[in-house]
Amino acid sequence: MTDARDAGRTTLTTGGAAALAAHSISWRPRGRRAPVLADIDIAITPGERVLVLGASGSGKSTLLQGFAGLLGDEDDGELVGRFVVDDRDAPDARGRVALLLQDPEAGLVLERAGDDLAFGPENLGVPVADIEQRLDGALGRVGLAIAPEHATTQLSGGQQQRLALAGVLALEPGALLLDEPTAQLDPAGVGDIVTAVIAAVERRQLTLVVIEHRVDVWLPHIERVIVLDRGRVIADGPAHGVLAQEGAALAARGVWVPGFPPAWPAPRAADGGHGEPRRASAPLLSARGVAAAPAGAEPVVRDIDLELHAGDVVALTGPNGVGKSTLALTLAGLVPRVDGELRLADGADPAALSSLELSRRIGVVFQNPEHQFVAATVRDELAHGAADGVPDALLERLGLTRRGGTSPYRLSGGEKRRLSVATALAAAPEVLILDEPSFGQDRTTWGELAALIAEHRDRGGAAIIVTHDRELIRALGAREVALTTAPSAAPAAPTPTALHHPPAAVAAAAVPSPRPHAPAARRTPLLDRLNPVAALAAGLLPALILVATIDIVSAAVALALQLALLPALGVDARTLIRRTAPVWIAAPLSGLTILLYGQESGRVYAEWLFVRISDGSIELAIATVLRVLAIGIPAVALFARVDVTRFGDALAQTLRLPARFVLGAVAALRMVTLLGHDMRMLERARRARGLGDGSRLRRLPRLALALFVLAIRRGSSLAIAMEARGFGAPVRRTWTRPAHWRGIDTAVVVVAIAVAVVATIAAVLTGQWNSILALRWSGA
Amino acid sequence: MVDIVVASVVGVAVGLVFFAWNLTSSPVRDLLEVLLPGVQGSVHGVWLIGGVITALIVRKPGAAIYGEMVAATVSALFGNEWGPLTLLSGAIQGLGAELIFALFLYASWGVGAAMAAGAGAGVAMVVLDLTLWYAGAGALFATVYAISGIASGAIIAGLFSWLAVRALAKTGALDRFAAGRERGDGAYDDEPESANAPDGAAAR
Repeated sequence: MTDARDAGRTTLTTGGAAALAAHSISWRPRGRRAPVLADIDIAITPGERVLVLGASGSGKSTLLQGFAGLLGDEDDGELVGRFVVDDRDAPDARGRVALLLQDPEAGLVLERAGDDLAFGPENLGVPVADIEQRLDGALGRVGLAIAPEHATTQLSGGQQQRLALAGVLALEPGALLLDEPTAQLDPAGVGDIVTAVIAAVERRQLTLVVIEHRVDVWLPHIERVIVLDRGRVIADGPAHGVLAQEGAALAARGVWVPGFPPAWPAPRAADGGHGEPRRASAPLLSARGVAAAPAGAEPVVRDIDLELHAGDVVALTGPNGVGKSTLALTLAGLVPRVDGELRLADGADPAALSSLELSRRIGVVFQNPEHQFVAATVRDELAHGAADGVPDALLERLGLTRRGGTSPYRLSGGEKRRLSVATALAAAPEVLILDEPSFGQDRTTWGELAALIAEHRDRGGAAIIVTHDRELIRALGAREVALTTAPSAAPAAPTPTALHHPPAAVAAAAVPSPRPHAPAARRTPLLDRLNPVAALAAGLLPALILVATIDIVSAAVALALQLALLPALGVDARTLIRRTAPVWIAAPLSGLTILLYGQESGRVYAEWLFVRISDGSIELAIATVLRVLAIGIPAVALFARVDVTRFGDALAQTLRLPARFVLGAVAALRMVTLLGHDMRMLERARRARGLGDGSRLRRLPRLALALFVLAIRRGSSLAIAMEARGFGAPVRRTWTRPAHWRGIDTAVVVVAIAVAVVATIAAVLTGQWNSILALRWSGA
Repeated sequence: MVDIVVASVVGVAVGLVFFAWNLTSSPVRDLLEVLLPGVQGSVHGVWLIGGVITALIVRKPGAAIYGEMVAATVSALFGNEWGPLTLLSGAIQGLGAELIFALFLYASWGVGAAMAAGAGAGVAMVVLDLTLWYAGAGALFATVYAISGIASGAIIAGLFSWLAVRALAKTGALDRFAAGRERGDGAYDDEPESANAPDGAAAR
């Protein structure tokens, strides 16, 4: 395990494993009076495997960030004592300690899997040849069978988490720190990540420190348990001893300790002892042959038949990506269905109801509670849409009495979940639909959640729950509808559905998503081989020349030359037209503005209010149309599909812009997909909560605000994940994707400028050159 | 470092809002454009939010230009009729807001500074647009566009951004930033560390 980096070190620890220590640590973040960590003394020997337990808010995450050297400076808070890795201060030991966070989305930085893996070693300045050697087989070692070109946004949560693991392992650390790495994963994902972690720890003899609410997942693999309570160590020792001594107390504070199952709600009140709910009246919700598709995509689920009676709880289960959430949102009338029929008890179609009406009939609990908050305080949140007003009693029942005036976003994770279920139930809907409600819940909030759902069921309501949680299914006596991926051999064959015999197997037609980087053409078009800076320059520089004049000759000459030259870029005509469509639409509109309000000269043909169509305005309008086309078409054609990662590489290497800003922007741009998804969910949640009627424009400000909250959250997590991978390390960064400037790049830029110059000369020679500065600022 | 990444992600979110605004507002904007000369300037302030809001959140020199540039990049990548020229607009408009914050010596982040910065971005936008895109437009159009564009910058980009940042601070999202700490030390003592968020924000 000695490589160039370790060989260059003066200090080497035995076997490569790192020793971690916290010496008399106290840490108080800025803006808080109470310290998050107080008088912590911990020593972890190389190769030790430690589980850190504690209730929410006990300071576990902060402790891990301290060991990883990521607590920041005096701007961020006040630190007493030292975090030490081997024999150096933690912030000076970048790369020795790898930190993996809970949110799989936030752990990844770049667009393609292979590029993302290289991000950490690049930041630490590892030579490119060494990086390639390190990454050889890295994906396989975490059990990922994907190509390095695979898009990181198209992986499941479990795959993303394993990729993030491979990304921190690429730092070749001596210690691996995991902050609830399985909390947001389905059972299969949990098993995969644990296997991958243990394999890495054993192969490289790493020190391991894990935070997890679910003790049983890690118990077989760890030897020592440290328990934190309000920032202090209250127990520290061999795993089984500590659990025997502290298990009950930990369980009471919400930790999932083996042998302490959560509280189950009372069994179904209406059962009458024979386990079969009433079937007397019409179903509260019925689906016939429903097919569901995510926005703008092919159907993922087909032929769903379902009847939901009073007192029914249906659990939609199945592997990730099979379309459970899409189906649930479709049944909730929030995602337009592709096919089939959907009826509420009175025959109404949920998808056709107004938002206000829908919010009274179907309550929806979104996977991320933050998607569905609509008010500034907890109290207003509960009062919104409530059937019986006064939320005081409800606040008390939810244990939120003291937090009525707080912003919902400020609640803890468990409190947010309780609040979101309570608001979905506020209008006493007939049907409750919940998407993965028990993800990441601790033992206490799990029990409260199950109780709220059971209460709704016993009042004669019905519920649909998307879940992987076997215990929740059993606790609620839910009927299971298992969605399965249809065998690809017979994807079109309708699969019979067995409805009243749980668990019913319903086939979902799995439609493979198109590979993002499928090799479409045999030869890479010239456009894709260009340095993105060259593409940008070729689009931008001629524009700066062409805008100097507004006349028909220069614009027409430039446009003609461009249309003649663009095919040389290797992009076919149809693609070109599709990409430049916005320009073809915008050009006549701009022309119209000038036609009506342009500078007047010559004969006036029409006059109406402020409109004056004259010889002058007609000529200027024609010139404007041609000019918008001549400026816009090459610019858009060259830039429309620029690859963000390559663009960033080129900005940093070719233009030598500061790498930190460029990479920060590149990582953020990857989040477009994620934030776009947030935006869609926010819209759906507003429809579900009765705020979706009326003008979309008027809803936009509030929607934007909610999006900004999510963006800042995601940005803060992303920043930690990037720093944990050496981002901002005070060394010269290396680049595994060198951005070359070739002769062809120069040629393309020169030709593009030449076109603009020739067009301008043509205008001057024909006496048509018409300076915009003179036209604009000397007055008409 | 956190500032750079958060500023980038906020820029991206603003870019998405631009995109949604484009889609939903285009009937209104097209109508305005044809009916009244230059009045479209009154809604162009939306394009100027990126710089002002990013600066109000991170309060660092350069944040206005950077935020507006990132938002413009998202717009350009989604594909609009201006392509990479959006980057030029973003740079100029961001500069307009940046200069105002600089005039305040990066020490004032109140509603006055925010509206002045929004107006500054508006001035930059008006000068650029009247030169590049509406070069052939008449004097009436130019005057109306200038007045409505600058006012829209002050109100939509300035006042609305300031209100948005104030509302964001209440949600706790800005606790880590200067903008979120204004209410004084100890304001967040009762905030529990979130059990579910990875929560660097709460810890830092």
